[in-house]
Formats: sequence, structure tokens, C-alpha cells
Amino acid sequence: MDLLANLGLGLQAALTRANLFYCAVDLFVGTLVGVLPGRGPVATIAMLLPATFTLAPVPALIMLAGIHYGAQYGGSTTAILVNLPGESSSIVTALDGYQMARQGRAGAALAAAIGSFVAGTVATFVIALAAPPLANVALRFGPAEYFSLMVLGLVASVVLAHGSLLKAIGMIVLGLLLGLIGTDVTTGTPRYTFDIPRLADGVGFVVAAMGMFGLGEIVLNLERVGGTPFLARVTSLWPTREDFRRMIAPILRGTVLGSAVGILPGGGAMLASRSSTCT
Amino acid sequence: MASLIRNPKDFAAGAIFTAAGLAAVLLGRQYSMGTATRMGPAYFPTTLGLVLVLIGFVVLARSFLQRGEPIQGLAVKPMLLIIGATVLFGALLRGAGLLVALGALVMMSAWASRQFRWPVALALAVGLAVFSALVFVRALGLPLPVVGSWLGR
Repeated sequence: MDLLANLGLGLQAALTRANLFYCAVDLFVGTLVGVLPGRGPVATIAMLLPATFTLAPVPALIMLAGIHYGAQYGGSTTAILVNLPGESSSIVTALDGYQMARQGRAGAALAAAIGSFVAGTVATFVIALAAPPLANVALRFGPAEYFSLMVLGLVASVVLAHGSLLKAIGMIVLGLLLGLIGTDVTTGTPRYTFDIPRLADGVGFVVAAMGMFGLGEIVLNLERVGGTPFLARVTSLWPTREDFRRMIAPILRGTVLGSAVGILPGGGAMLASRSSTCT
Repeated sequence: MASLIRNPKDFAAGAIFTAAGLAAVLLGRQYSMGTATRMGPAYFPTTLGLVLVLIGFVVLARSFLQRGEPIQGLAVKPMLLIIGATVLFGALLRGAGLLVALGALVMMSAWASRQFRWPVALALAVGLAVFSALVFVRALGLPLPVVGSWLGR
């Protein structure tokens, strides 16, 4: 078995005391930075990249992996507790996790990251196992397939929206219009930029999410006359047995979907998290 | 007038949709339209804008027909304060620096709260400014001026 031998070799390289130490330290640092609102894994890695320059390739890669996973987890913490997603893939976490936190179950929501751990581990194995054939499929994923996936996403957001169907469609059109701000992809004309160079890149996903969820939440809190602003109290970090039982199926579903969608180039964690909430 | 509108929430939503759609169409007129086979930069936004106007009209029309809940207590002052504070932060950051901009942001948004108290807000502003300067600028090396160009340096 070539695969097992290769995986064994990889584990041998990773499981030295020094490398595990690097991994632990950088998980900690990554979580610490990821907790800051608006700092996702990408930004965190970019900032901490210089720290790896002096290291050998293997510890450097381990360090970056640690930072990435740490930041990802840290990002979900702010998403759950204060409804401020740090990057695009934790917006979904904010949608559900924040509601759980409001019901006093912030601890369980935070621990639901166990799901991420299971899915991440399984997906790594799946990808190692199926990388060559899957890569072929991914390369054949052309514009038509991406277009269908996007349409699926838009339709799913209408279906999942609560309340008026018409207003949900309206909000999607409004979102599409906001997405048009910036340089036109086909002609290169700056659209709706009001001659502000910053806007040529378009309105970022994180910016839009911060405005919608973060500022919106603050304003909503202020409108509730006589109400107290919401504070999440983290009681027990460990999910109950009931939670565990109910978590298993979604974790498995998410694992399968995530491994399948995550291999597509360009989509990544964002598409995966969006499409697995939709199921 | 107010009695004619039976669903104020929908009325507001329809008005916002219509306004946003109209803005998209009108602002998009400065770009070239192109044809359906060779779409210019205005083609897609104009179409979307028209769709949004249409949806806005339907939502508006429905607000006269169906009964709905009223809009409760629009907190105008706090809302303007919060959004204004965010804008002010963006405007001050380059010129006046992180310390001043953060101070202004915290004081102004704290003022929106009903539980506003000077000592608490001041302590929060100072603490957050120092913390952010240390963490974001000193430790993480973000390219933000701690003290801006307007204040010497």
C-alpha cells in the first residue's frame, strides 16, 4: 500500500517532539489572533508568515497548518458569541451558533467544533486517498458547473429564508447589486465606484457581513426599549449526551459534503459551509 | 395616509427596494449598455435594478392590501450615532491616527446607549485605544498610524 506508507512517512515527520511543540504553540497563537473580529485564517497566516522564514520547511508547514486551524476555530468563537464572523466561512457559524448562544447554549455551540475536527480529519484522509481521481473531476469543473452551483446557492438561500418569499428574492437581488460594485470583470470598467479607488476592488464579503450582522445587531439592541443588551453566558463547554446524539448525523453529512465540495478549486471552505447548512 | 397603509413594515421594505433599484438603474446610465450577446458594463446592473424596482412595487402594492405589524420604535438617534461613529472612525484613522479615531468611535457609540456614564465610557475608550495600539500595531504589525499625520510626525 503506497498510500499507507506515504501517510506513515508523513506522520513520522510530523510526530517529533519539536514539531508537535511548534504545532501546539501556533494553534494557540492562531486561535488568539483568530478571535479578534474580522481577522480570518488568511489574514492571520499572512501576518505570521515572516515568523516561519527562519525554520526548516517541515516545521514551517506544520506551523502554518497550526495557525490556520487555530485561526479558523478562533473565528468561530467571535461568530458564536458576538455574531461577528471573522471570515466568509464562519458566517454560517454566526447564523446558527449565535442563535444557540442567545438560548444560553454558547458552550455547546463552541464545542460543536468537534464536528469540524471530525470532518477535517476524515476529509484529509479522503483527499489523500482520492486525490488523483478527484483532481481530474475538479479540473473538469468548468464555468457551467460553477454557475449551477451558484444558482443552487441562491435558490437555497431563498428557500431557507424565513418570512416573505418576495422579500427574500428582493434581498438577493440587492445583494447581487452590491456585488457588482467594483471593476467589471469583462470590460474592466469601474462600476458604482464614485471615483473612490478603494471601491474598485468591490465590497468585501467580510465588510458586508460586519455591517449586516454586527452593526445591525447593535442597532437592533438599542431599539428594544427597556431591554438589556444580549450577553452570552458560557456555562458548560461540554455538550450533553443528547447534543452528541443529535450531532452525529449532521457531522457525517457535513463531512461527506465538505470533502466533496472542498476539493473544487476556488470554492473552498465558503461554498462547503454554505452548501452543508442548506441540506 | 397612514390608515391606507396596512402593512408599514412591507411599505418601508418596498420603498427601500424601489429606491435601491432606481439608484442602480440611474447610476448605471453612465456606462455603456452593449447588446445581449456583448453585454456592456451597464447591462447586468440595469437588469437587476429593474427587477428590484419591480419587486419593490409589488411589495409596496401588497402593503396596501394585507394587514401587517407596525414598525415599533425606530431608534433614530442611536442608529445615526452608531453609523456616524463608524464613518467617523474611517475618516479619522489615516489623518488623526488610531488613538484619536478609536477614542472618538468609543465615546460616540457609547453615547448612544441609555446606560451612558462618563467615567465608564472614558475608561473603555482609553483602554481599547491602548490595547489596540499594542496588539494590532505593535504586535501584529498592521500598517496603521498610531498618531496620524495631522498631529505632527
